[in-house]
Amino acid sequence: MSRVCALVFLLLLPAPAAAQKGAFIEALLEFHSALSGTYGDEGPRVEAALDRMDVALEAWNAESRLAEASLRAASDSSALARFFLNEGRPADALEAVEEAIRLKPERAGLHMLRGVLLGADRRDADALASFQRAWALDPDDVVNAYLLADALSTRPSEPPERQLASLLAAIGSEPPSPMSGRDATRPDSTGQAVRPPAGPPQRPSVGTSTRRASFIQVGLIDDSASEAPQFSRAAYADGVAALANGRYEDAIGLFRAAMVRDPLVVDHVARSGPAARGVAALRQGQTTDAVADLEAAVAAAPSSSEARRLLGVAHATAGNVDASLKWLAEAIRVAPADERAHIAMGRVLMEAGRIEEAERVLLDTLRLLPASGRTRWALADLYELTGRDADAIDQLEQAATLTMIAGKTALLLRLASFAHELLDEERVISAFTRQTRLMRNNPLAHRSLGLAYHRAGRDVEALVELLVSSHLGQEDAETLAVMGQIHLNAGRLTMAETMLRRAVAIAPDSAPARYALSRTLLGLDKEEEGRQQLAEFERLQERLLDERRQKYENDLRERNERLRGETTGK
Amino acid sequence: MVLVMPRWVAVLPGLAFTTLAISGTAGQWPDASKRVAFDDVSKRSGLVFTHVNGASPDKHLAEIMGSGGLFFDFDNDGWIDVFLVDGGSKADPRVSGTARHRLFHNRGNGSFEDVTANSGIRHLAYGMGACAGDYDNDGLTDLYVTTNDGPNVLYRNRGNGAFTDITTTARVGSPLWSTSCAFADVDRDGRLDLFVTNYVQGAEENPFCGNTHPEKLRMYCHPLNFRPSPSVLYHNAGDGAFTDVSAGAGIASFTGNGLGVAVADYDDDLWPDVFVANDGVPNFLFHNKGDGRFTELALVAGVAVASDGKARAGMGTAFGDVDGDGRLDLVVTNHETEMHSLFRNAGNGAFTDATASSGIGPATLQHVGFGVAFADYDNDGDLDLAIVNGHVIDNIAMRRSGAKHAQKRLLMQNTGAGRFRNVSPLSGPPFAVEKVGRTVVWGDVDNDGDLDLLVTNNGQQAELLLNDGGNGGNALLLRLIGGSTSLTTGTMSNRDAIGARVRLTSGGRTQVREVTSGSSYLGQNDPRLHVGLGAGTIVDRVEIRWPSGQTEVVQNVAANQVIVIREGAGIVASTRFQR
Repeated sequence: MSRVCALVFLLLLPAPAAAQKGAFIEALLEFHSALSGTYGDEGPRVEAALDRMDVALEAWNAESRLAEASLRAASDSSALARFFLNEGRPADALEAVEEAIRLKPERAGLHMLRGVLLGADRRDADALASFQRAWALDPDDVVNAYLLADALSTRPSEPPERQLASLLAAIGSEPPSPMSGRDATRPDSTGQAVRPPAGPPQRPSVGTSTRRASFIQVGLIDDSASEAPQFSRAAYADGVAALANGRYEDAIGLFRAAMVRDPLVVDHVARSGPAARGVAALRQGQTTDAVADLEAAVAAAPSSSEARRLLGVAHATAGNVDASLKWLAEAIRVAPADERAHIAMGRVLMEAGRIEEAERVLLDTLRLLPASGRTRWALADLYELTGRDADAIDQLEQAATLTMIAGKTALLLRLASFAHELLDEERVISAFTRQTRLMRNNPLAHRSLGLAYHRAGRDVEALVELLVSSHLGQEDAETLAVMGQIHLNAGRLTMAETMLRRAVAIAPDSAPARYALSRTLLGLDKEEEGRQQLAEFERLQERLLDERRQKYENDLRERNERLRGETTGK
Repeated sequence: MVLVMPRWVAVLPGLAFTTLAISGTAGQWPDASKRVAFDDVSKRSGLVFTHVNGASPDKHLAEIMGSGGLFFDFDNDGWIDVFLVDGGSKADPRVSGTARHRLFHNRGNGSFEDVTANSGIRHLAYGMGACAGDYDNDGLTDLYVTTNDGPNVLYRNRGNGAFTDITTTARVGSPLWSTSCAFADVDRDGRLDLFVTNYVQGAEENPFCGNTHPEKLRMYCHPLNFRPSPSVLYHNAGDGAFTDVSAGAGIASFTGNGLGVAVADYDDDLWPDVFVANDGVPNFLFHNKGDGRFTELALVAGVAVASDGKARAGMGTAFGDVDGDGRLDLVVTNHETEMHSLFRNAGNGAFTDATASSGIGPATLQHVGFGVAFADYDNDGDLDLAIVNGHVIDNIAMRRSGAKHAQKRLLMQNTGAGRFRNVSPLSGPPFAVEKVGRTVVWGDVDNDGDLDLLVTNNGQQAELLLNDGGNGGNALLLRLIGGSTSLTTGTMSNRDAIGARVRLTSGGRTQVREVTSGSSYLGQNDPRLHVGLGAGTIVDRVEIRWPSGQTEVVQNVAANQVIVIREGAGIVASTRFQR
């Protein structure tokens, strides 16, 4: 049976199982880290980490069997479904949730969970039907309303307004307060009672989420835990893919198979003798000693690709570009599939400004190792360096199709940045959409997506995302002002007024919020206040314009002075 | 008046790709977009003109701004002619000497003749834009040319293709850097006044803002580096001279970086109002109070800035009723990343920003827009949009990956109720090429009932884009001639009937048009009114509200003809379309 991951809900697992799962992940991260092979002596760490993964997995499985038996004995289908979900067993979870629905068909959260599971299984039509059923039972559930809107968005025949309708109905006329009475006492998505928080209702602070209702997020490792993409090594890609599919035993087997072909693990030259001394010197930044020791190692081990790679790295660190390239080429000759040597060569060429050669090396690497995300990332760096943003986007788009340990959100953010630079807002939206799906509970992700939609003029979709961002706790003047503008332009003046008053309360100097509020009030025939707000906007606008003009004047003065200085030779 | 309309004989190439289907409008209005395509016929029609922009390492701002062109029928033969403004050179007198404005006479047989040499129209200064109107009501349309660095020039049309420079006696030679202009009878005294918007001052002092980049990377300055200018309103005294009434009219106290002008009675109170698109600062909407004074109401009306409260880089502009509610909406082209703005007239003196919901915003996000024209190119009964684009930074590609100096133009089809979709890829080769577009104006050059486009490009050839297939739907072209005196008010309409409002009803649908002078960016459309009728073959009712205030109704007019209506006399001439 395959498993699909669920570490985000780690705390919901029975404690021992959670601990074992944590141990498994810890070992996995160590394994992944050691595979970088920066100094060539990480082989033993790789082997040890894999052994620990094996042990942790066995313990995890044993604990899971116990927990499952206990839940089955209690005949609690709902809890069982949650357990299976957390265990990464979606088929079992679906079976359990359907049994729970049979027993309690009125529980909206179960239908929503069913929708999530069906959606993960790409049964989109069935998932949509489940979300619609859940919405019919509980139109106030914001999370389900959003999931329904999201499911509808994949259907070209559905007008975007229909997506918004369900969400607006759920949220009402304003960004929901996080602790409103209804939300605070209602059951969560699967029927678990939620205790109301102590004290009066409070608004969430910027960037925080204090809401009860949140998205069911599945994934072995929280993708956003890494600020950079954690690509699997090309040789280990099959194993990482198995991990992503919840086939952990298979993954370990595939890792072991890859490991026996990995020079980092099987080439022991760096573990002793002159190579070990060279690596130690390299670690301490003593490049001259490192080069000398590693040259000796190469001489002593004529078939070692690792000794050659490390010598190339040492020369690169010492600034000896040609020597570095020579030895990296040697490493590749001995071990043609060694991704590390290829990428190192590309990077050395890039840093030496030999762009065309670097590109050729990296493209050749991709022909040999198409699953090398690191090579695509390096190419993106190269294209960024040379202003070829469109080519960088191509590489990042292809890298985004690869399975990663974590950090895909970071990759998508970079992709969105390039696309934004090219004014390709549709691609920005595409990147942020994928990012948001990886971090559904992150209000900033929804905000970014919402603002991208707004920049592209897709205001209905923008409002959906911004409302959810707000629901998840994001409250800032810009978001509120944009939501207000969208409502204003759509003629929903009362909703606009609510949003914009809050925006102005947060940021009294926000010209956009003031302007939209003034127009809203004028539209609502609140003439006097509308004109007051307009006057305030004019004041702010004049100030901004003065500042802008002043900046131009200052820049001009500085440039002219510089020019005069150059002309007179001073 | 007898209209002479020989057959348009140009041979149009077949455009197989225009058969690509896109979902169409419903009901009696055919989806003409399936078969409408444009073709650049400028070369084979003899309309050959290459704009001299004088681009230099000094990066004079004027080099990237021009220039304009317009349609007008200077010889009253029923075939609209073309005037094109040339730039010049700020840096090199030799280059400047090669610049020449052009007057092209439409022979009515698919060809144009360059008649500039004998026209009396000379290139006196770095040209920007032009507008046309019969300021002296003598039945001949006169011409006003705006310039960057010299007094603007008013040419009086003496007939027989001859024009006389009467700038000095007319006192309309504004020394400021002028851009767009428009004739309009703002006080409704039967004489056309002249509104001229001006751009910036001080650009000569710092040609490239002290930019020390190597020449290859040096950029043109942002207009905010320079001082903004006021617009000018010249009142026509009726004795051949104009008076600058800007101060008293409440115009002169507003300074902006004016580029586009559109004049229309947006609030339907009979008095023509003026919208000025400003570059980088809030736009102006001068509301005509009817007593010779204007109130600047752009902010209150909601057209000064976009809905985010930020001023845009306004360039071109036009009024038109996009949603069929009888009220004139407003389009303004802006810089890339800003989206071109569509402001929908809400009817109470206020506009709502429909940029996103109309579909115009998303389609224009990547474009630096200039010329813009509302034109029912497919004769389906609603106003579509033609937009030309082109960056203002000639080396933008070196500064931002993916950015382009030359850009594609856009044809946005109104799918009903003011929602637009980009049909450019289906509309022929001219919409596939990239140019540094500046002006676009519409006109029916072959009198076949569909709208052709005149496009100017900075430093490049002007183009005449002939509409092939737009007349799959029916249409009516109306030329209005004012001249009678209102019995109730004692006022008279100007002869060009500029400011006349027409409500035309056919098949239960009513469309509104207004006769205007300047529009778009640095240009002016065909002075006739074009109304697409779709499958309608009869216009049930044409109601004309003349500038004098008189209302006149003509009923049961057959489609597919050019009709001439003289104030108080009804239809005085008609000619079937040339098909």
